[in-house]
Amino acid sequence: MIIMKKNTRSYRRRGIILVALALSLLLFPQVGFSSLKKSPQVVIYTAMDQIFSKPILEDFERLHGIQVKAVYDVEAVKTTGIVNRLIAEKNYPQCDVFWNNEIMRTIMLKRKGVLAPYRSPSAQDIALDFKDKQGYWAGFAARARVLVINTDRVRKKMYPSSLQDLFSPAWRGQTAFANPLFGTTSTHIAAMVATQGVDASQAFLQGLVNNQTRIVDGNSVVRDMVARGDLAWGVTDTDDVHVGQLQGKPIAMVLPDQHGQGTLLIPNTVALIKNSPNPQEARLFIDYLLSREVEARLAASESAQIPLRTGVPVPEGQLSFADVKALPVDFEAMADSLEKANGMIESILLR
Amino acid sequence: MILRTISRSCHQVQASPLVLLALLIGVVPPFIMVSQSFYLEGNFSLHHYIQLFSEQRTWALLGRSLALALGTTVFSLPVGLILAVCCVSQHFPGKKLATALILVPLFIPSHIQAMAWTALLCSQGLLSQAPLSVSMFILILAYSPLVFLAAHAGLSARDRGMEEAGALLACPWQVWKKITLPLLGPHLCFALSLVFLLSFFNYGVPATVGLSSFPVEILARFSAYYDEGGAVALAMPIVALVLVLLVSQKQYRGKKSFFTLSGQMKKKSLSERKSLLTGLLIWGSIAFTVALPLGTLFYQSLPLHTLSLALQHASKELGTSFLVAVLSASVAVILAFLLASSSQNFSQRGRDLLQTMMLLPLAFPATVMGVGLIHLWNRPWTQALYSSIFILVVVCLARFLPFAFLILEASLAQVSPSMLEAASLCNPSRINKLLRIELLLNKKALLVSWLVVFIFAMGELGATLLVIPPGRETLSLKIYSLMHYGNGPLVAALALVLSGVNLLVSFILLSLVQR
Repeated sequence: MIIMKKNTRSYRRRGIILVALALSLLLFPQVGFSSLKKSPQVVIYTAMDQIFSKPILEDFERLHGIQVKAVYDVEAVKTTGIVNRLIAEKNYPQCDVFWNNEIMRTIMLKRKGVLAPYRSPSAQDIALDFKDKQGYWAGFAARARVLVINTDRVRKKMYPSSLQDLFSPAWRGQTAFANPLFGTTSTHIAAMVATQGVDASQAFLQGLVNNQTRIVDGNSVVRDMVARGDLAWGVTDTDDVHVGQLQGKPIAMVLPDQHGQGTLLIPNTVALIKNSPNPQEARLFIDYLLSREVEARLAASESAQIPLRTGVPVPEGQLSFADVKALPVDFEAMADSLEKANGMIESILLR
Repeated sequence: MILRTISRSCHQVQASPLVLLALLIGVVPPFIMVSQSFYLEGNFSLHHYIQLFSEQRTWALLGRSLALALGTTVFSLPVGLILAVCCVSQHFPGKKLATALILVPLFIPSHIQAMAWTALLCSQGLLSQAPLSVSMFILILAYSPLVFLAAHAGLSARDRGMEEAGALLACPWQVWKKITLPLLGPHLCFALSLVFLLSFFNYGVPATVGLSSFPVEILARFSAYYDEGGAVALAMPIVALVLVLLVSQKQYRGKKSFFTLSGQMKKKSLSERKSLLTGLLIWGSIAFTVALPLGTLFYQSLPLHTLSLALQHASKELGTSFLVAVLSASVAVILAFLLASSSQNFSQRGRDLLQTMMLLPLAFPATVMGVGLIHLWNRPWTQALYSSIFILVVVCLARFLPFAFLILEASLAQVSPSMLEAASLCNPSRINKLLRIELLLNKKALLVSWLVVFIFAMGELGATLLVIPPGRETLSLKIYSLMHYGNGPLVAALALVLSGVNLLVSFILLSLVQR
């Protein structure tokens, strides 16, 4: 009995020492492992692919002598990471600037009170349609929603030219569309609801089911399946097609509905985080990111982003804003449609 | 009487600072999330639960995930058991190596196996025709080694004299049914519970194959609707299911352990014989479950210099992953050992309560845990931890401490208290007793639990991506980032590097266990 009591005391003492050690690590940051405030820095959360965004961030470091600490999102987990993290960190933000590779989640974050307004001088020549009226975000360097076609399987004369071709009996079971709950595909369906209404969007989704369109895990999967020849064609983003073409895959790109309502353009967006820890550096970074030079670099990169301003140089053979008949959309209305679109997608496509 | 017992149990649990630390790490974060699921715009509400569970689709997805987990569990049993029986009772060329190689799928994260198998099966068109069957097939291959491991441990540790005595009076089938299987029961029961849980919660395989499952739906609540409350509400039936499962397997096992201190055969079996056919079966299954997926990854990673490129490209990320995994495994083992050791002094109810509490984190998906950890640790006075890689260690502890605790608790339960008391009479030093008796007797369990946490930590993705400090990256995150970019050879090479590190560390540690 005495031994047991001694043991219990000994265990408690040991536990108290352990907890005290753990707490000491928390309470004495300088003794531990934090040196965050030593040099000027800016914390960027970006949904832009690391391979494209990292060189831009490194250039900023070189130009301004400000250390950039980045958190990159992972496409495979559908931007769960950064946006949820920004929401969860709202009361004690760690991030200074959110660089999103699309627009819907940026608007959603604005509505959740995560963002702060900042009108960057670099955004003055960006069209009003691509900027928030209250200054919470600004758009730049867009991607387009395009058709990716396997050139070995489909002759040029037979290339589809419209999203409506997804419903052609000739392509039954031969096409792919990424899961529309996530990423730019969800933006695409929300845009459809905003521009064409609920009934037309429901008919579109039902058409995908009826014509046995493959719903796959992401836009890069659409590209890869088409490139392998598993499917004839699919719907994806310009950057996916361009990267595939650079890797020598047998794929071609078509801008859909150029003779109809137009192709959806989805801009990158940048926004300042409310109560960010390094606001001065954050504003400097936003100014840099919205510059014409960065837009030109993104156009020249493997992701082949489409500049939203005229006069920004674009490599030969790549798309410029003037080459695309863009689908006219109100991004705020699109964000309003997102929840309705998600409900339709779940009830029709993902049963 | 009941109240007094509960009060005593609670007192025991609350009394220990170690228990409080474990609560803080693994239980408080998901419970912050659970409490949020009962609020809507600041007011108490059951809105999330009513809305989600009134939808037929929710139940359909739950049913599909249950079918996936149940099917994986049911089919893993014969696969693992047959292989274990063959390895223990038969002699064939390369038996020792084959026994180790069968376990290889456990050391490769399941999403990497899914990558390899989808590349193999895609051209057959099977993915679109039968995503449920394909997911189940991949999960069986990934998790049946758990059944093999448990059955092999049980068969190796059993007293064969009992079987041989039975064989004098009954046919082999009767001996198997009446003696061997009941002896294996606790081992199999624990392994099958783990297989069920791991396959139910698996996100990577159904998502890669294109199967709408319950974990995918929980993720959708987060990433399509950004609805934390809804995601947690969806997870609640799983929490209940896990608790029922863990409590019932505990009831079934009673005081019988699934972990044996001495893994060596007590006696050579009279029926042990050479069999070329068994050798073919075992080596054939290894070729199918290990060589084929790893060979596919190797083929995808060609040319060979891609491997060195991968190492150059991701050496920093590999270093971070390795550091986090080593720290997590070491802290988890120390904490789990101290907790399990303390729990030996608790009353039965106290121990049950502690076990249930320790297992609770297993019931929550990684994303729920990740967001809960942000809510708990992202505060002004905890920035030192939150902004360093130590938050990744906290993530791994929160998610994988239960595994270390389960193994060590089962092992410590087999150390006779009278032995420890006798030792205390000779030398009352607690340190001496710990170093010279408890640690030495549980050496095998300590190494195995370290390895389990290490492997899980190396592959952790779901919660890591939510709390990764700015400027840092782990190898798993790197692999997923590159997957989107479509760099097939580099992704395959990095997957091979990750698997290689796991295999190397496992080989070193298992060699130590065998000494």
